[in-house]
Amino acid sequence: MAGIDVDAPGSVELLMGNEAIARGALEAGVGFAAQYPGTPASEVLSVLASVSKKMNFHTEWSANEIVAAEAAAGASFAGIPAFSAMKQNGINVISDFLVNLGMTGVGTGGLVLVVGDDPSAISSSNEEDSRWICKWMQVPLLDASTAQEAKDMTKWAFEVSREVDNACLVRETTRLAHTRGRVVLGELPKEQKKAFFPDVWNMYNPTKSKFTAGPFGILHHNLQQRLKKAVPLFEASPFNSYVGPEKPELLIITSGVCYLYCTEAVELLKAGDRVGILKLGTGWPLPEKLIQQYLGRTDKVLFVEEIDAFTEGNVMEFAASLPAGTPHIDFYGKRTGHIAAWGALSTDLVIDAMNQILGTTYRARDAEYAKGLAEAAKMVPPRSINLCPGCPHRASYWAIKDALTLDGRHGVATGDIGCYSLGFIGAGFFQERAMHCMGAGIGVANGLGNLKEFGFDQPVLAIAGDSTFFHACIPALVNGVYNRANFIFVILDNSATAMTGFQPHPGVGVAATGEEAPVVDMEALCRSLGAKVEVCDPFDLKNTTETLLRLMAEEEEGARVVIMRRVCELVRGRREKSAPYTMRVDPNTCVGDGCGCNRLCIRVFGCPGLMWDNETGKAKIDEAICTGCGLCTDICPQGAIIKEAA
Amino acid sequence: MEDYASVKLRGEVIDQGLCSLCGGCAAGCPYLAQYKGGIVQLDRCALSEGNCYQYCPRTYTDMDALSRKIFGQPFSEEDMGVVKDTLLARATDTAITQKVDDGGVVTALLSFALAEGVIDAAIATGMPGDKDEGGSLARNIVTALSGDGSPVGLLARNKKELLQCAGVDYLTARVLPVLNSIPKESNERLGIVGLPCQVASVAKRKASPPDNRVSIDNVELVISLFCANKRWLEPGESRQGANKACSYCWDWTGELADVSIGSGRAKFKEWNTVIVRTEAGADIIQRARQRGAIEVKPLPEESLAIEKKASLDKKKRAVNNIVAKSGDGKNLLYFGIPETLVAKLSS
Repeated sequence: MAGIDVDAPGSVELLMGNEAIARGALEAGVGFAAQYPGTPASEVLSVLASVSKKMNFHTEWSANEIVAAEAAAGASFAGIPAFSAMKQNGINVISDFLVNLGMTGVGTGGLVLVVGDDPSAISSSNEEDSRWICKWMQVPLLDASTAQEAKDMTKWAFEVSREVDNACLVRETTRLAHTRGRVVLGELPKEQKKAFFPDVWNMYNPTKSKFTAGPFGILHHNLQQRLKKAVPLFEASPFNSYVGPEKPELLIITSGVCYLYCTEAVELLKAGDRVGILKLGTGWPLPEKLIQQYLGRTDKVLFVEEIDAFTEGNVMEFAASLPAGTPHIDFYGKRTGHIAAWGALSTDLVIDAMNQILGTTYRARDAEYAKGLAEAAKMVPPRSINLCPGCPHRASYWAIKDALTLDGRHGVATGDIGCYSLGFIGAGFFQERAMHCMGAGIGVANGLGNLKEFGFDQPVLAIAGDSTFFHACIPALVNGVYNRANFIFVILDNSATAMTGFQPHPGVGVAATGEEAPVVDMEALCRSLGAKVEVCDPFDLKNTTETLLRLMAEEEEGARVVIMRRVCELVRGRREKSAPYTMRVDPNTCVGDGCGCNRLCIRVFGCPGLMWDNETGKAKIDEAICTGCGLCTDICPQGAIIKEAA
Repeated sequence: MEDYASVKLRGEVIDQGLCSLCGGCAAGCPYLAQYKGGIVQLDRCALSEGNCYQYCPRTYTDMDALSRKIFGQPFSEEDMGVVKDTLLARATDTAITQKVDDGGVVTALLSFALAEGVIDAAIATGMPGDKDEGGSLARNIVTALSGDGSPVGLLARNKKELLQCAGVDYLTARVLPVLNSIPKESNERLGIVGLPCQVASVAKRKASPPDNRVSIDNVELVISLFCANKRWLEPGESRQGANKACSYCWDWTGELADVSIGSGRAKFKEWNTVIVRTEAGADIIQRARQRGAIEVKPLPEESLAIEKKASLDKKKRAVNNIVAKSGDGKNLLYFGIPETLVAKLSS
């Protein structure tokens, strides 16, 4: 993050894609940045917040993406350059606002939205391609390939936004977001605008303000006209480029980080004289003239893009409108199976496609390599996806598992998005039985909780984290109270947005800038809705299990809340710098593999701080990573795991 | 998966409606819990052989082999099993008799055995909260969560602690978990009181001692209560409906114990009917009597006849019910007795 606010035009910094985006916003004179954390885009606001006080502009972690986008739009209405970044799911959250925003426009400030897509869903529940929203909602799209471009595009996006009077979207993907690259810095603006919400009368909107979405007929037409203003900008944009022979045997049309894969693939195949690469940094609307120019030079086109066949479809759609007599072009891509229709791409995958089309036989690695790789893989100890050592969620899930099992009615736990999403695998003892988007756990519970007419008698637990609670659960809780849906809403309150990097949220009393902030009391909030609320410490397994069992057994109907509160172990560890307990396994008491244990601690409980000593056949503490939380003492059936105050 | 002991137990016993809830399986196992009238499996165990299956009184038991281990003789075809002596007895200590409805012989014998140093600790049944159970929190979480106010197993090391157990119904007694919670290295000699099914589980342990547990040889005295089926239900108690599984049980008096003790019935209200089965049983009765801990008198013929008939009727009912379940006159599911005896009992 060092150097993000360096005021030395022309100097070079090594910036992560997300940092480069933040720098681009600074160079554009951003005055208002709001975001909800979401991998891979989380760092953008962290970086901006680290300098916002010094540079005198506003940053905030918003309660969710739509509030962030709306807040940013509000600033733009008042003439302040505004910005919001999000992960791909965020696009869905803001979509209702975005479709209406297109009707009114964003005003004079300019609004740039950055979306981090996550090919292969490395940190996501899906690998949605956000670019579709641009075509759907007629929003201009820029697609960044490198850190330099991420910076430059973000800065330019503000101009595009003001030109078309709509939000402009900059897309990055995980690889770019989290990779460092060389970035030549530009100038930082010195002047700050005065914010003022204008009175506007115009022919499209017979009201005092232009920021009211109606009458839609005229406004929709107006939106289409405004988007057209982006076309000449895009036709001339240096973000679109061509490298290759005058008449390539194969034209690759690509965007984003795939451009780098294509460049490398052409280089490795030594096919620079046969293959040309057209990189489209401006994704939507299409720079049709530019595309037509290059389509006319070849009869084979390969589309290389992550995730969906967005540009592939758009270009083919455009090609269908080319004049009669245009020579036939063979199009290759996801539609033909030459490029994987899902998952992240790589240079190797591009080479495979090129080999098929060009008849080349290049292999990056010989057959022996695969064998060697398989051998080497055997030497790496298997690691399962797991919660951290000392994670309070492990305790919560243990209690949930015991309570649901003891209750015996096949209770259903519906999950949500966060670290605790791991509840659907062994890390959470396979407790989560539904998991979709943020807030869906309690939403789905509203349905399951109102099926008694159909003989449904399974208890329903909806599980969500504290940050998710503020993000998306409150309307569903209101609904549950109002409609007497029979479920228990379990809030796993670890006092952090842990999964994305411990960003603060409305419940923790800290603002994005690190300054003190008011605390929104979730307990009081839930009570005020009329829900019965219980609070327990998940490390008190007995009380937590008992609380759930008691609530499940109650005749009382309606939504009830259990807050399982214990701070994220990583946050506690940083704050306190010491472990509460020193842990050890008494080898004389440990039963090991035998009946009466069967490695319960490592096989079922599965805290990474516990390991197995193959020589003695006993459990052992991994002192390197044990956080000394002491929980395993309470699950060892033999009482062989000893905790001593550290 | 199919071969896991806990899966077999569920398939062959629990799902078949044979489980008497003796607690023998859950006793030493973190994966199984005895909870509110059922055996619950909390996690998956990956062992193909396990104590849960081996010590369940409702998994197949070769009664003859078991009898040879416990009594050194074949399975007795007598109505009440192996019997050395029968008598009526009652406690002499008023501290005991005022707490019980019958003769108080169980408490008197254990108290005497503790005082005499025959045993160092007795596993009996008391009300929760009387005294902490042994064992780690892991087991106690579930035990404590049962929270239905029903009796729990307790480890008593002196008369005062034992008196807390006197007069308590053996409703949902979790005596076997207490046995398993005793540290392996403990040298304490133990006395156990249980119901016939619990005593059968102890007998199966004696016949084939478990690893990883306190030595079963430490158990010096096993007392069985006559099972009146009473434990399975009174209105307002935690369970719902009588345990149908008890209709498949053959054992009314606890034939695998050292001593079996029941009530004196209406005729001898303040007395206990006592059946002595082993040398150990005979020895403790003899000494308790000599030292005045209990007083005894002969069990009248007509009373003996009643107990014999009750025992035989229970065996017959069990065999008929089991056969009705298995659908095969020769298949007694868990109850491994000679075919001749099957014929006799099902006649």
